[in-house]
Amino acid sequence: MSVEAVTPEDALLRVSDLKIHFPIYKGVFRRKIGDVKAVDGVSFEIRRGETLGLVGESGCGKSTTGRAVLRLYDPTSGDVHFEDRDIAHLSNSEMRQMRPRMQMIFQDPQACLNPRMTVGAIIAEPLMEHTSMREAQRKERVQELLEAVGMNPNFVNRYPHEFSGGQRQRIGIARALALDPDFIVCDEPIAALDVSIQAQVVNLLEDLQDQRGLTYLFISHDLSMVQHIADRVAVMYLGKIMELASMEDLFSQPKHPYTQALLSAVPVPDPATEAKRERVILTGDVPSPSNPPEGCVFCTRCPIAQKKCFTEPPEWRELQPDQFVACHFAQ
Amino acid sequence: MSSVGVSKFEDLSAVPSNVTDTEPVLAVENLETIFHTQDGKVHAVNGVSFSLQAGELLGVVGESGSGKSVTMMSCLKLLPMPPAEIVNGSATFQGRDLLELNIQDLREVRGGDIGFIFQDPMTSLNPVFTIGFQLMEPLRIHLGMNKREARERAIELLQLVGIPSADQRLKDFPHQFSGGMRQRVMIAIALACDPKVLFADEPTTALDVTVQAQIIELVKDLREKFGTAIIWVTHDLGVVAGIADRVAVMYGGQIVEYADVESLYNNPRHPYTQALLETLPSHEGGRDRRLRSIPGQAPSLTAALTSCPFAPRCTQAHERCHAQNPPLFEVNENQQSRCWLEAEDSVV
Repeated sequence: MSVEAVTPEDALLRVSDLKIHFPIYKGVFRRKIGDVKAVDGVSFEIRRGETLGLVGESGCGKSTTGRAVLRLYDPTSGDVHFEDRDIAHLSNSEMRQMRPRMQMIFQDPQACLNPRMTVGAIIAEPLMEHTSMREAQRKERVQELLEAVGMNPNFVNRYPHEFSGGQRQRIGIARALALDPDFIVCDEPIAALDVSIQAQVVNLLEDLQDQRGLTYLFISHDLSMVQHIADRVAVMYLGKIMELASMEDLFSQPKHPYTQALLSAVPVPDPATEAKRERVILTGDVPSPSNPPEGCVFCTRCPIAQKKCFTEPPEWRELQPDQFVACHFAQ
Repeated sequence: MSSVGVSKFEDLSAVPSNVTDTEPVLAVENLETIFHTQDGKVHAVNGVSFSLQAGELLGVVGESGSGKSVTMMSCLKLLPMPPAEIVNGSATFQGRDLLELNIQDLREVRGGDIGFIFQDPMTSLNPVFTIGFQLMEPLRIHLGMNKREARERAIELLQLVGIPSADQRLKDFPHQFSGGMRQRVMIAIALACDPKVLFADEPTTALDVTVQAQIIELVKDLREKFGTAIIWVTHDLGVVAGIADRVAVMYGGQIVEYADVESLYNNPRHPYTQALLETLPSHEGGRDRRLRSIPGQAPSLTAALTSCPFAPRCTQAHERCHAQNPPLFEVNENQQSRCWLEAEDSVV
């Protein structure tokens, strides 16, 4: 949980130089003309029992990373070690045995639940796939799970449309918990919810983590929520990680110019602070990931970019213990 | 207008103070909108009143279903009718009630004296017309410009909202722009005819934070240059804190608190506003502090309000809250709250 020195054994998940490129085809013969470099060489580790926040703007590759660590995409290159097994290169049947240990919570609670299945059937589905439980046991387990996420266990025979967004998200969480996983990827779990409901879901995720010792990869674009929930935070931009540090360090002393700009762009609900804030306003838009800039990917928008940044990709360096930055000039 | 001599990055909260005594540009009184659905009536807006001074920025905050968008759409009769029906109220703009205007007169106002920025820049631009055409259309219709004049003005507008090589981009179609750029184009269209009032319905919700920051700076800037009165609808309390002069908090189709921005954030009076501000993660305590959530859900509004709609979720609710819908009480000259707790104060 904390940021003390870690031995490799503490890491539940270790990702090294992960790349995921999606081919672009064009013309009558569907010739391959290039790649969308959605994730282009990211490395990080997630320690047992911690929450790693993964933040970035839309299109930066954070969701793709989240899916790749569960092997929902086959990586173009790189390794993903879950404990001591390299899940990037397992066969499908071997992978299937690993699946119960890693689960996912999706962004849109409307779209991730089958509208034709009852809540009970939705939550029982992973149990049917991966365990040999009998029906009575399954029923019991479903009720248990519904209670664990704070819902009335008598709702098993209802359909998803009968629930509100927050409740649907709870059903999605119950499904993810069904197989007692160690690791859950939360892909923008609160983005589709109202502010007052967001707090309920975040509290639930935290409670479950405390009770069950879960490890989360929490993907979000909402920096203030990430600041609340995460132990460490990775900031992504255009398929690469720009900065990785403990929550305290990242928010109190961001080193990378992109992190600084991102943090200064977050509106603060306090008029006095807002009035005297100095914003770093980035110009322009994120370049296309099919044709990223040479050198540092952030160079086209960076306020402190120099000649070197346009030609030489920066090294991934440890600026101070446990704070990693990919920038030539950060200090 | 009032902003002469204010430098680009100076605090803007000073701007409206010298205009508060003048006549409001837009005054909405007791607006009520219902939707006729298969399952009966939905009372989406229940007696909303607000006014807007020249150059003022009014923030309207609320969760989804609180009636904030419907209120704005009702003012310009942009809702499909039926199912929607404006059953009561008035929206006075330049001495005329917008709700009484016929469609011809309304068209003159929409896009002319009143601009509208919609939430989703992807779907509110017409994909089969060029950006140039869509920008020039209001100029030619409302201001009677000829093609060349309209083109020049359109280029100016695109430059104003910060789109590079504007004259070439006029020929481009919406899909050739990124989300942030499209929202800029929307803003340019809304500003085309120098509107007196600008409705901005969640203009930055679909955008990334860094682009949102760009748009906010742009709007601040434009407000200074043209003194446009703006209504900014959002669910993000952070955004409002930075740009608004006054804030209306909506819940259950009515304004539950109406105050200037400092009072609202420093001394929120309505239990809903208080709860809403407390649900935001505070950044001092770190992870140990649990987030406060508001238990329960938003009301469904299938019947006219006979009690306070927030009462079932309110921690301070008492008997009267469940029996009677409170009126807006004046707390002080800057602040109004729709809560029975204020009534007790005034009795005592």
